[in-house]
Amino acid sequence: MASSSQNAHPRRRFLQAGLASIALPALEAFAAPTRNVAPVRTFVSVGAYLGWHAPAFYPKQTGFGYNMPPLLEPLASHRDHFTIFSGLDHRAPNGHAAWNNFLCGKVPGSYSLDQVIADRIGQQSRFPSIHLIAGASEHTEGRQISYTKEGVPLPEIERPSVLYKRLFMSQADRARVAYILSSGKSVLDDVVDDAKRLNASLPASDQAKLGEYFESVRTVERRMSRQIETIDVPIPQPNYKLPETDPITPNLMMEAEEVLYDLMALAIQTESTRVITFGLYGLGQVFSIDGQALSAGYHALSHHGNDPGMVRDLVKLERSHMSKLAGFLDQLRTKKDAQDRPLLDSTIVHVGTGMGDASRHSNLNLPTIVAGGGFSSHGKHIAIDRDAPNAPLLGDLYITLMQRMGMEIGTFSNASRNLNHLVS
Amino acid sequence: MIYTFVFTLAALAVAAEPLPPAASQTLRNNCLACHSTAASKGGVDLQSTPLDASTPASRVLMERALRVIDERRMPPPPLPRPSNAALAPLTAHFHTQLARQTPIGGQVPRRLNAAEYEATIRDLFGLPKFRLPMGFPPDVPSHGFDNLAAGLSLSAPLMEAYATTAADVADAIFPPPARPAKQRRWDVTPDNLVISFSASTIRNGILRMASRAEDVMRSCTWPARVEIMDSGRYRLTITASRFQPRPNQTMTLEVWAREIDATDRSKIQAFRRLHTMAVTGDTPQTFTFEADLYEGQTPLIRWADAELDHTSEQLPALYRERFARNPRLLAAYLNALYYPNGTPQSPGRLRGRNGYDLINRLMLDPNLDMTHATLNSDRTRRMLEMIGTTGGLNNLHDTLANEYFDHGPSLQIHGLTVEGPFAPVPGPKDKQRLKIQKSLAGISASEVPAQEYARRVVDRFLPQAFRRPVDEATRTNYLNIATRHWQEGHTFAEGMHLLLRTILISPRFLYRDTQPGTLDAYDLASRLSYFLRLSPPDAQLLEAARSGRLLTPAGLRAEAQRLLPTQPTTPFVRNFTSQWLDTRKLASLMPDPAFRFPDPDLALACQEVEHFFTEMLAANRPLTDFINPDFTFTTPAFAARNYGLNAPANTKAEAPYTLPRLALPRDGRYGGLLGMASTLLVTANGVDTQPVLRGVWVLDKVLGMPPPAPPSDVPALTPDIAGATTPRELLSAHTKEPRCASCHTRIDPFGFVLENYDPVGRWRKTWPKSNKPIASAVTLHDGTKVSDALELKQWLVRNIDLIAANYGEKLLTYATGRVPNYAERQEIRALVADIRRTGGGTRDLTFALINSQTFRTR
Repeated sequence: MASSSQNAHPRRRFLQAGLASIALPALEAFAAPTRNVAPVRTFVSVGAYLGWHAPAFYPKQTGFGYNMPPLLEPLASHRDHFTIFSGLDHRAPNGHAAWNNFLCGKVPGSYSLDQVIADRIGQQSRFPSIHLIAGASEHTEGRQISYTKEGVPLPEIERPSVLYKRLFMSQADRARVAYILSSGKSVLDDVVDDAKRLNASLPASDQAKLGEYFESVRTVERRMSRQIETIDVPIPQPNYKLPETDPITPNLMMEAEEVLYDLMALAIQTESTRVITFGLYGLGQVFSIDGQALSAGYHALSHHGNDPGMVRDLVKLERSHMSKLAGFLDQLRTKKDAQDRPLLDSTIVHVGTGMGDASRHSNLNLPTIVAGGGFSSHGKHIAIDRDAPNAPLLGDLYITLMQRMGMEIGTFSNASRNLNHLVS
Repeated sequence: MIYTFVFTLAALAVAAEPLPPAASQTLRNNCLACHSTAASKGGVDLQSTPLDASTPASRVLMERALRVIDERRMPPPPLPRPSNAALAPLTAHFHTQLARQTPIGGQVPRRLNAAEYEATIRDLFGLPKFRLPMGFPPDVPSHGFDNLAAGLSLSAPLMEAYATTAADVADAIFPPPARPAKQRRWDVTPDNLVISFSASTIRNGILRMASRAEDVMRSCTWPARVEIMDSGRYRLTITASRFQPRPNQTMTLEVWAREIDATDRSKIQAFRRLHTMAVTGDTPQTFTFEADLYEGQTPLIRWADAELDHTSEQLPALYRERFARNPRLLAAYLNALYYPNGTPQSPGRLRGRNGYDLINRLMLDPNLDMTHATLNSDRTRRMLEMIGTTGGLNNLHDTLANEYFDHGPSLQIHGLTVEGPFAPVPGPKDKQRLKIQKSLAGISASEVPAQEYARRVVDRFLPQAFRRPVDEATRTNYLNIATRHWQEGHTFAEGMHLLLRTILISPRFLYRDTQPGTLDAYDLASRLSYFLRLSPPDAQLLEAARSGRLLTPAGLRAEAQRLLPTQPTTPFVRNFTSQWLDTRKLASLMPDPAFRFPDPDLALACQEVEHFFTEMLAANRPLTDFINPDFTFTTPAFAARNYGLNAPANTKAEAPYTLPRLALPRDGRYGGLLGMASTLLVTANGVDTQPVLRGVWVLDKVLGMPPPAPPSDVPALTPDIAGATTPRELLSAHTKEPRCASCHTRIDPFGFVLENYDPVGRWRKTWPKSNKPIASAVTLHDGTKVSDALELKQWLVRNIDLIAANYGEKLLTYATGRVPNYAERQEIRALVADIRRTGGGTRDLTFALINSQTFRTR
C-alpha cells in the first residue's frame, strides 16, 4: 500500500492542475505563516529545450577577465551578478528523449532539483512550486522539466492568464472555489453513509480494504474545512495588465517570455512561491527579429550543421531569449523584498538546458549560468575540465545551490560533492 | 536438537492432518536446524505454523517450501540435498494438503486503476477526449501489473484527485453561468500571421504562400493573436492577390477554423472548412463572408491548389520542369547534394531559406560545375529518385518553396479582419453538454421539471455508473442530494453538478468486485469487460448479465468472443503484452547510436509484439508458436535491418493489421517471444547485453518461475576477474560462489544462451571489445545441454505446457487482479493439458481460462 505521506506532495501539485481547484493550495497555505531564515529564498530555473549554442555561450577566457561572448551580450549589465560554467553535465544518456536530464541528473525523469527544493522549503509559501512553459507548439508530454520523487511529471502552465488567475485570484474566482469546497464537503456524509451500507454486507478482509476509503474521505473533509476557514485571507493584487490574447502561438514565444517573466517577478515579490521552473520549447516556428524573418524555424536552426548562416540566425534567436532574461534580472534587481533588499539577492536564477549540442543531440557539456543568490564570487567564467579524473558534475553545482538555500543536503542524483570551493 | 524434535511433534499434534512420520523425519533432519521457531532463519518458522494448509499463512509457507525444494535452493549448498526418496513423502503431503484445502479466489474489492478510471469516464459520459490531468497520482505496479487489487490502495491525495476530477467532469456537463459575450474586432496584418517552416514568408510587407500539404505547419498560416472567446457568428474579411501566376491561373484560397492551441503536427483534416474563394487578380481582391467560429478557435488560411504539393508523386516532375528551364539550377542542386566524386551529401544542407541561399550562391558561381547538369545524367536520375521517395525530403521542399516565393506562382495575403460575434452559436462544447445531459436522463433537461429530470438521472445513469442495478433506497438517497441542494436555494445546474460529483466519488463507482465468492452476473460482466475492453460493460453485456445468460458457459463464451479484440492497437493487447513482457520499458529505452536503431524502430518493435499476440489469439495459433512461429509482423525494411530477412519489399499490411505479416523460417533465429527485437531490447540496456537480466526475464515471463529477489544480506560480489575477457567469464563468479549459485545456476544459462542477440536483438557471432567468439552453450537447470538459442527453442517447444501455463497465469493475473494461488494454478495446468489433448490453440486456451473457476471467482 502506498503510504499517504509518500503522496502528500503530488496531491497539492495535482490540485494545481485541476480546473475547479484553481486556488486550493493557495488558500490552504494561508494557514501557515511564512518564515524566512535562509538568506536565499527563491529558486528559479530556466531551461532551453533546444539548448544554447555553446560556441557563442562559452567565453574564450576563464576567470573574471573574460570577453562577453555574443550570446550573453544582452546580460552584460548584470555581469557582476552571474557566473558562467562550462564543462558540466550529468553523464546522462544522449538524445532528445533524454533532454529532461536537465534538472533530473543522471536519470531523465527522476526526482528533479526543483522538486527536491520544493519538498524541503516549498511549503513555506502559497505555491510549493510553479511550472511554466513558452513556445510549445506540440504536446510536450515526456519532456517536462519537473518530476516528483515518484517520477511523476508535473504539468506546466502556458497561458499567462491562467498563471495570473492562479496567483492572484479575483473575488469571483474565490467565490466559486468556496462554493465547490463547501458543497463538496456537505455531501461527504452521504457518501460515507452509502459506503457503510455497502460495507455492512462484506467480510472482514473487505472491510479493511474499504477502511482506506473511509480514512481518505475523512482526511479530505478535514482539509476542506481548513481551506474554507482560510478562504477570506487577502491575496496581494498587483493590478498587472495582461495582454488581450494569451501569446500561446509559438511564434509569439518571445512575447510570452516577457509576460511570464513579469509574472514570475511579481510572484517572487509577493512571496507567492519559492520554486519556479520555466521551459523554453520550440519546433517549426519562424521568428521575426528586428522586423526580419529568420531563415528557418527554431528546430531547423538548432540542427545548423555548422552552416554559418544557420548559426548566425540561431544565435540571433537565442540572444532574444537572453534579452528577455536580462529584463527579468533587471526587475529582480530593482524590486525590493520586505527587508528592502533587491529580490535578486535572495533569488537564485539558474539558466541551462539538458542538451549540450542540439545539432548532434548530445547531452554532454551543458551550458549553465547561475545568477543572483548573493554569491560574492560572481563575475567569472568557471571552466571545468570534464575529461580530468574526478571532474565535478553538474549535480555538484546543484548541491551547492541547495546548500545556499539553507538545505542540509550532500547528494543529488549521481553527484555527492559540491562546488563550494569555486562559488561562494 | 532433541528439544526441537519434541517441540515439533507437539506442534504437529494439533494440526488437522499431521505430517506422515517419514515426512516429519525429513523435515526434522533437513530443515529445522535453521527453521525452528527459535532460529526462524530468514523469518521462516516451520515449527509453530501448522503444515496442513488450513490457514492462508500455512498455505503460503507450504507453497514457498515446495518451491525452494523444487528449485534446489533449500537446503542451501553446501548442505547435502536429501534423496528423492526422503523428499517424496514430504512434498507429496504438501501437494495433497494444498490441493485439498486451497480455496479458489480470495481477493479484496478492486479499485479502478488510473487507465480504467479514465476509460470509464470516457465511456460513461461519452467524452472521447477525456484524459486524466497530468500529475494524477499513478498506480503502484504489483507483480508486474498495475491492476492488482492488492496494489490498488486508496489514499487521501488520490481521493482529492478523484474529487477534483469529478468537479471538472461536472463542469463540462453542468457548467457555472457563462459571462456575457463581448463583441470585438481584430485587424490582422501580415506580420501578425504565423510563419511556420516554409509554409509562408513575408515579402514587402505581404505574406506569400507557396505550397500545400496535409501538415498544417508546412502549408498554412493563421493569426497569432486571434482567439475566439465566445462561440458565434463572425464576419471575416480577407484580402489576397496572385504573384507571378501561371497563365489564367485561378488560385483557390480556403479559410478553415483551427483550435489555437492545436499541436503544430496537426493535419488539415482535423479542422473545419469555413469558406472557399477564387483569387484571380494580381492586385488585391477583398472577400467578405460570415462563418461560425467557436471558443478557442482562430481562422486558418490555406492555398488549396498550390502547385507545390509536399505529398504529391508529381514532385519529381516539378523539379524536372524547373531544371529543364534552367540547367544552372540543376547544376546547383547537384553540387549541393553530391560531393565531386558522386557520393551523396546530406540533404540537411538544404534546410530552410539557407538551402535556398546556398543554391543561389552556387548558381551565381562562375565556376559552377555543369558536367552532370543534364536531365538524364546518372546523378540527376538518382536525385530525382530520392525526391520521389519519402523520407528526409522536407529540406528539399523548403528550398523549392523559397524558389516559389521569389519566382512564383505564390498566393499573397494582404490582411484579414475578424469581427463578432453577431449572434451566439452553440459551440462543440455546448452541443456536447446538451447531448450528455440528454443521455444521462434519456430526456433533455429542458423538457421536464428539475425534480423529474434528476429522478430519471438516478434511475438511468446510476446503474450505469455503478455497473449494476441499484435498489430504490440507494436511488432515493442520491436523488435527495440534488433535491436538498435546490431547497437550500441553489440553481438547477448546481444541484445536478453536485449530484454528479457525488456519484463519481462513491465507492460503488470507484470499486468493482465488491461481493465475495463466485462472482454474480454483474461483477462477472465488469470483470470480462475491463479485462478485454478496458471499459465498463456495454448495454449488450449488461443484458446478458440481467438475463442470467452470462452465468452459463455458452453465454460467457459468446460474450467473450464478442469482446475479444481483433486489433493490435486495443488497450487489452497493449496493456497486457506491455506488462507481461516488460515492453513498456521500450518507451524509455535509448539504444546506443552505434547500433543505428532509431526511435521509429522502437515503435515498430513495440507494434510487432502487439501484432504477434493479436494473431496468436485471432488465428488460434498453436501454443508452440509463442516460441517457434513461422511468421512475424514488421516492415520488410525492419526485418532486413534487424533480422537479416529478405522479404519482398512490397509486402503490404492487411486489415486489421497495420504491419505486413512476414513469413519466417521455422526453427530459425527470429520469431516468437524470444526472437523479437522488443523482448531482446528490454532485456538489455541499450548499450550492453545483460545475461542475468535476460535469464531472469525468461524464467519469469516465459517459464513462470520467477527467481526470488537477491537476498539483502549477500555482499556485492568482488569476484576474481583476472584474465576474464568476456561477459561470460566475468559472470562465472556467480556460479562459483555457493550462496549465489543456487539461483544463478538457474538464471544465467538462459541469459548466456541468448548472448548471440546483441542489445537491439540482432544476431552476432563475437563479443564486442574482446572480439572473442560467443560461447552460448549452457546446461539448463534440469540438466539439458543446449548449444545455442535455436536449441533452447527446441527445449522450450518440448516443454510447451510450462509456457502455456505461464501464459494462463499471467493472463488470469491481469484479468482477476490477483496472483493465482496453488489451486488456481492447478486448474490452469489442467486446462492446458486439456487443450493439448484436444489439439486446441491459443484462442481456445484463452476462452477456457475465461470460463475457469479462477476467472469466475473473486
